[in-house]
Amino acid sequence: VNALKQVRAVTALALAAVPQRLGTSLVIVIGTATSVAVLIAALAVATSFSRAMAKTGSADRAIVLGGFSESSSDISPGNAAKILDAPGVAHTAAGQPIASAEVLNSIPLTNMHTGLESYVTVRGVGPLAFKLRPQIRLVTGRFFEPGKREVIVGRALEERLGSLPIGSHVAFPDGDWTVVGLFSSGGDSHQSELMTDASSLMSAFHRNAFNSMTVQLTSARHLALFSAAVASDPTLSVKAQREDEYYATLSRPVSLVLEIVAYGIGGIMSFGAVFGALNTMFSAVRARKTEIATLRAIGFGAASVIASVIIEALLLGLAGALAGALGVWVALDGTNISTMMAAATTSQITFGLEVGPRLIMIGVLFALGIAFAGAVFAAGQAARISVAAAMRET
Amino acid sequence: VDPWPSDQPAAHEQQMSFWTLIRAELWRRPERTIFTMVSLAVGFLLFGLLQSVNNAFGAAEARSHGDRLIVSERFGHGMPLAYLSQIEAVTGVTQVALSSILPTFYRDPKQSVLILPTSPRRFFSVFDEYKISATALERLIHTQSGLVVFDRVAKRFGWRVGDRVNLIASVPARDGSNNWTFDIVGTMTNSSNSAQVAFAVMNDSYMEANKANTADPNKYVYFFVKIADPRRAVSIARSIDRLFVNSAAPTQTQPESAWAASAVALIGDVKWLTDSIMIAVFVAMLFLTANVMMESVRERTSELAVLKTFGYSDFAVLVLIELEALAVCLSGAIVGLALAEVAFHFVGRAMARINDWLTTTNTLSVGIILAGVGFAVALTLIAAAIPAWRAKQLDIVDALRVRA
Repeated sequence: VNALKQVRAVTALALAAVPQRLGTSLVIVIGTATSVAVLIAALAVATSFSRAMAKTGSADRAIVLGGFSESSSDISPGNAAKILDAPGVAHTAAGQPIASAEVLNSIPLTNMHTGLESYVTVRGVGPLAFKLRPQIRLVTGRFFEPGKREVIVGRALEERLGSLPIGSHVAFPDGDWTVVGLFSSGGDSHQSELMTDASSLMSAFHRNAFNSMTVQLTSARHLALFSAAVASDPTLSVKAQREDEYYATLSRPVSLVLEIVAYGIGGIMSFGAVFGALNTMFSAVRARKTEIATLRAIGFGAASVIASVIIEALLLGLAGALAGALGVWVALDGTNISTMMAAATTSQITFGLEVGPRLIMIGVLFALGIAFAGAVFAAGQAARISVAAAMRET
Repeated sequence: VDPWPSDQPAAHEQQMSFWTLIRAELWRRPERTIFTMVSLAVGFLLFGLLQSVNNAFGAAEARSHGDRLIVSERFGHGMPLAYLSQIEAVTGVTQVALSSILPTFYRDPKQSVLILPTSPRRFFSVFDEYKISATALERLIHTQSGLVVFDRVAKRFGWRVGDRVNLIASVPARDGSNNWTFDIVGTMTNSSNSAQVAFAVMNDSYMEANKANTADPNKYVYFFVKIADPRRAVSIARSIDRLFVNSAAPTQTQPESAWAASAVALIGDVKWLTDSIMIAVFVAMLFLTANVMMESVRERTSELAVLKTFGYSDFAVLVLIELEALAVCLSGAIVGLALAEVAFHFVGRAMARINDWLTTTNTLSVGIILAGVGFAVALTLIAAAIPAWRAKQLDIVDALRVRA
């Protein structure tokens, strides 16, 4: 108890003097604030991207592919029908399998912001696609009518392109198609796509096979049953996997790069900030030399002096971390950015950045690490201040 | 204004003592100077790395040739041979090379080699920065199964001229398998030191003779078009697209630069990101340096007053403080940029793996080094401004009285 009291008294003295050395103290605050801001901002890109991709999948849906990814996979209509007969597929009250055989193509569209044409993904879906993916909701307009050469536009895509209003026309290989609706899908990757019915899209692109088949499972537990049934048929040569796992695997290479960049740059900046903190804390100890010597002379222990130096640094680091996190949150939270979905593809995903409590915690931990590393040597020096020498100097 | 009035010590004497003074001041608190330098070095390391990354993205666009257009089918389908002569007839077009695509890999799917089946003579005339010896070109033209690869790719796979190699292609061969056999007839190098994309060149006639499905007449994926005047790139591109707008295979013609830009833009707005990080780094460095100089001036109030008493002009004291800051910032810049040079070797390789257009040189460019030095000078001038001004304004009597 006595030791705690000492720590409290010495720390209070140290903190009371912080305003007098505001300049040097701010070096720690600004050093940690900038490092934490960069770290959190970069991590926000990585985690928001992963989250948007992960949201696209669900544990109780399975995606069946004839290749590694949706774009390099082929499933013939005959095989698609066979997949629907497999056990584990959920059915509507009317007895229809809840599934969607889908086809992907890309078309060039002009980006109103840049004036350049870029390729966007058009997904052709089956009749029960919106029962399969209840997260897809119309914002305005209506759903497309199959066979009428109509598309609906994902909200994120519309935002990225700048403008693609209802009633506008989009050039397909067989002529102009009409935009009839705008949809949202809870921030997942479908929001960056155009959607239409699979058969119209296949005829427009002269295709005779689907890319993928997504089915609603009767329960997430029935995945093994379903995938074993699909895999056991040698004429299918397809693989079924949990939809959320598929999207996680697909996004992993890009999110890994983003995370490496975040921790790499954040780490380098933090390393630099440690040396700024070293300066500050050595200078703080120098300024407190007489005070510390006096305290030691009247019986305060070395531990309370060490603790006061470290606590001062940690509080300054914490202030910096909170300032940095606040800055990033104000500047970035809720803004939309785009990146490619997987290495070496042309499909882009636009997603909202979220600066959440987990990221702020990581930032605070980094800041406390910086402050501690910067304070520990100065604290050691403070503990060794000899009473006689310090008094003599003044 | 002459900072050294004639009744002062001779200029060279004062300069001598200037350096002695700066050295003495910097080592007055060695740990402070070293910590500051390390901190600044880290800042310049980031500067070097981020600028290089930035340049790599910019370079993808700049490196592309303005006198080259790439024609592809709008919806990712193929185009017929007949387009070749139609494109050639467009005013301003000087040379056209056709190409399909044969994606392959060597032994492991990760070791991919993208092969362009083309007409070699036309191809190397359109892509004149790809250097190939005349004999190698002749050998390629006269060996139907011939393959020319970049020297770097040949080295990676241990291929030598004369070797026969088996590649696994995504297009089935005539025998029903996916095995394609090639004879390495030569290597090419890239004279503009630009993207050494892992692609190879084969004869289009071999593609035609050896592939299983020969039914589709729309087999050409690209027409590479060389034009006489880069300033007319956009209008020539429009004329080409207009030729085929109502056909079964409408085209999309883009200058190579736009192509590179859109390939790179997929990764996101890199420049915005690196610039924001650099601003954060600069703010932190500025504050750190300013603070150290401020503290150092405060500690030496009486010493600076003594210097003035000895006859150093106000301006000389200001210069002294600025030079001290410059010494710290420049040494930080030199160490940081040297570290960036080492680190960049690894970063460059990692980037090349993300996107072929991003391959860069393995060293920092002279431009970045000069920018780094300029950055150090700017940092010095701004950070040391207030402390140097204070030192200049210092009144001898006041300064010495405080101490007493």
